[in-house]
Amino acid sequence: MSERSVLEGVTVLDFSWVGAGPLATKYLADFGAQVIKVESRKHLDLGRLSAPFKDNIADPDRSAFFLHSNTSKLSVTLNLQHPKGVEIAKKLARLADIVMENFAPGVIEKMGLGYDHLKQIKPDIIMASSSIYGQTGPKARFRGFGNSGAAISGHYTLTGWPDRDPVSPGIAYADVVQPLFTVTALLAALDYRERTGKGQYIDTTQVETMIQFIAPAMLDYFANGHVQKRVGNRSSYASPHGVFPCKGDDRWCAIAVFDEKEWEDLCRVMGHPAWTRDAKFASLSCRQVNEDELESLIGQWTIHHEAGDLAAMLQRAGVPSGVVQDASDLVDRDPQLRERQCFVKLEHPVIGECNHPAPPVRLSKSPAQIKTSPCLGEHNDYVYTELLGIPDEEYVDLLNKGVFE
Amino acid sequence: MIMSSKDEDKEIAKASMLSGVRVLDLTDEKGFLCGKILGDLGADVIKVERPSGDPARRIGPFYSNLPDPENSLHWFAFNSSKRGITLDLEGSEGQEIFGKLSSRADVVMESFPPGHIENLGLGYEALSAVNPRLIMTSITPFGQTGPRRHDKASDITLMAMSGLMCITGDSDKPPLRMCLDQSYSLAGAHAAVGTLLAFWHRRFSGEGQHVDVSIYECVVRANYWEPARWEFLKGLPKRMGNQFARVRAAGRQLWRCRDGYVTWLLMGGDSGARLTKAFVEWMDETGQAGIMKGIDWETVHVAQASQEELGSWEEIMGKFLREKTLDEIEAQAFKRGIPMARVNEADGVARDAQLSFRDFWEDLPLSEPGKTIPCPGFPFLSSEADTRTGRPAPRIGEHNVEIYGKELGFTDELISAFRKRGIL
Repeated sequence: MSERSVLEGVTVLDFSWVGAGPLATKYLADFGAQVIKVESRKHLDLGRLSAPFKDNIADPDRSAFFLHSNTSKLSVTLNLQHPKGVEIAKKLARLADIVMENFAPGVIEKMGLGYDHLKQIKPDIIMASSSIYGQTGPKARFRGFGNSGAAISGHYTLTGWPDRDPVSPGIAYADVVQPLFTVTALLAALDYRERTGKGQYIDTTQVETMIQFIAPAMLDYFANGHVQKRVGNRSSYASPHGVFPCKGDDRWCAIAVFDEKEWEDLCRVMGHPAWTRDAKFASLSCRQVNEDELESLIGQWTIHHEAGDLAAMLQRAGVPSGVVQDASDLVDRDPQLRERQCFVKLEHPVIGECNHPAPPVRLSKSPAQIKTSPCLGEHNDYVYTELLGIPDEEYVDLLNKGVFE
Repeated sequence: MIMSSKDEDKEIAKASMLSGVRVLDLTDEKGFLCGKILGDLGADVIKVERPSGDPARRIGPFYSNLPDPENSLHWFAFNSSKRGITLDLEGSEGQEIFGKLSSRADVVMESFPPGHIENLGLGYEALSAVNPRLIMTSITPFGQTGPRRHDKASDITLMAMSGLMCITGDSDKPPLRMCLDQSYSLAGAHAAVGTLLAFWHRRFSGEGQHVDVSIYECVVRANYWEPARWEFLKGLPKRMGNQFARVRAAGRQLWRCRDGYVTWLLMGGDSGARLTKAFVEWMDETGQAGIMKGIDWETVHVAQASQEELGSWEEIMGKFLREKTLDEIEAQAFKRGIPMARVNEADGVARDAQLSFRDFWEDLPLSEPGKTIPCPGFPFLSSEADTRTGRPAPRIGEHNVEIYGKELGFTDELISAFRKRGIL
């Protein structure tokens, strides 16, 4: 195994905050990039203000949400409202390969740190802006939060039960989708720069990236004029396909049957009850026509079993299945996640030992090397005096002027 | 600073983000998106199908609602920007041909059950012995290792296990999955990142490697809040529809209007107070703000409000929004800086003025001659590189002659002989 981290030698100046920006730079940091997260005590990253906090004490260094989105980064505090602060940011940009930001469109330009400014200082800089709707266009100034991206891109109306309102996904889904495209863009831009010597400006949006994930529904509309509706847990190419009730309170097991072999296997596990031989369940399309009845009949069987036993029984028979788990299952019990170290236990200076989420891709020769997330301003000394070489006297002077607040 | 495509037309041909990268894509529906993303970025991605066509071509929707392997819009959506060849990997001749192709490829992607590709003699060890620069990306339900690696899984079983279903849906209904096969899309996008990381590593080390992507872990990662909530607070919230959990109460996120729905959430803090005030002012212009008018929002802790209090405000806001149309709400909210978003269906997405302005949609030809449809375009804008996505998804064996004939130098006779024997 080689000693070198994949992105060793790549420096990222990271102005991004909250979710979608930090999750992109976390990926780069976990794989060895030096990510300098620029924060300010005057305007804290909302991520640092987000619960849950260690021991329920609201403190910028105790947020689990922040911890999970900012592993392996360095943190400096810098007051970008101070002209000297902007000057220092520009000095940092000179050292950087990549600059990342996700302020409201237009804000970074007003600070004098937009792409046009930075490329004067460093012509081959790669800069990415991440926003909900984009930097250009009539809605560039659109304001959103949480699930705006899921709402505008069409995910919301496709999620839910046919006879009920659309349902918001249980997470701010675009905040996990968009960063994947931002990282892809940045890695491709690094390669492009290697080949051509040129940097570039990248503009990623929650809406445009989220649409990639429902592309078939958009093509159905453009090709057939068909507006797809909510279908609950059903699938167009499997039946049965849903979650079925098990013994206990709110316990469920997912079962999905894609072909006749899996259907036969499911019937065998159920003990071949007479109804399974009915012609109305004889093929995928028959089962789909009679799906309400099918689900009810299967449910009458599953309810007599513990969810875990049922899933194990179905797995032995070769039927795709899985227990509806909650977070305690993931963190405390799931043997697969444990063996693959999906959560890595590391020591955080304030929080103590706790789980850190690892990237879900494993590289055989250059694995991720996750470090804990930084406390606010933890790396000021290193970045300002060692990396930038600001003399001590000047450093103290700037400190007193509030430049590092 | 980003040019619209009208400006770009005047420019001479731009270089693509990834060029000169050859990808062989053996994945099924679980991994399609990875190759599509790299193809969009300019890599030469060759989708390798079995001679009868990829089984995933059975997945709808279908063009004109006619189920046919060449009509699958699912296939079309996730395999554009790829070329396509057929090859029987189960037999030794096909395996030998694949060996030839992979000896000159940069990346092989696959999503077979763990161990299968090794059994075909085409595993990472075997292929990298010939081509040490080769990157192999494997996208499987649970990854290549671990006690569950051979378990049978699909999108809904992985979503169920990830903890996302138990927090999604109405409280009086079963746990709910998100639409379509989101886990496969998440895994495809993560796999694109993993592949590019391996590619960057190769630039400096000269060596390829095996990239192991667990779809399950990709979804667990998407469930970014609950594992921390459990670890830190021992809290396990249940699904609550469109309610957003507060300290004491739950707030509404989804609001009915005359012709659809919008999202809006009453928020606390300084910025929340400003937004609420902007909304109350709007309601007050027609005298509809009720008790919300007299409240000093800067001193109210929305997060601490009781369910009763919150409910009384929500009734006022709900009544106001119900009488408005989506267009009215969008225009007013935009003007006033209130974060309300329209909850679009496909037709709303298609008509979105922002997406048109940014030339997001790209017309690609369908299987029917002369017929093109707008397709989702490049996933981001770039000031520098070519951001056209390229070609439509391949028909079965569309590029056999191009690749086997021109590149591998197979004669027409050989190609037709292989075809007859079911190898191509």
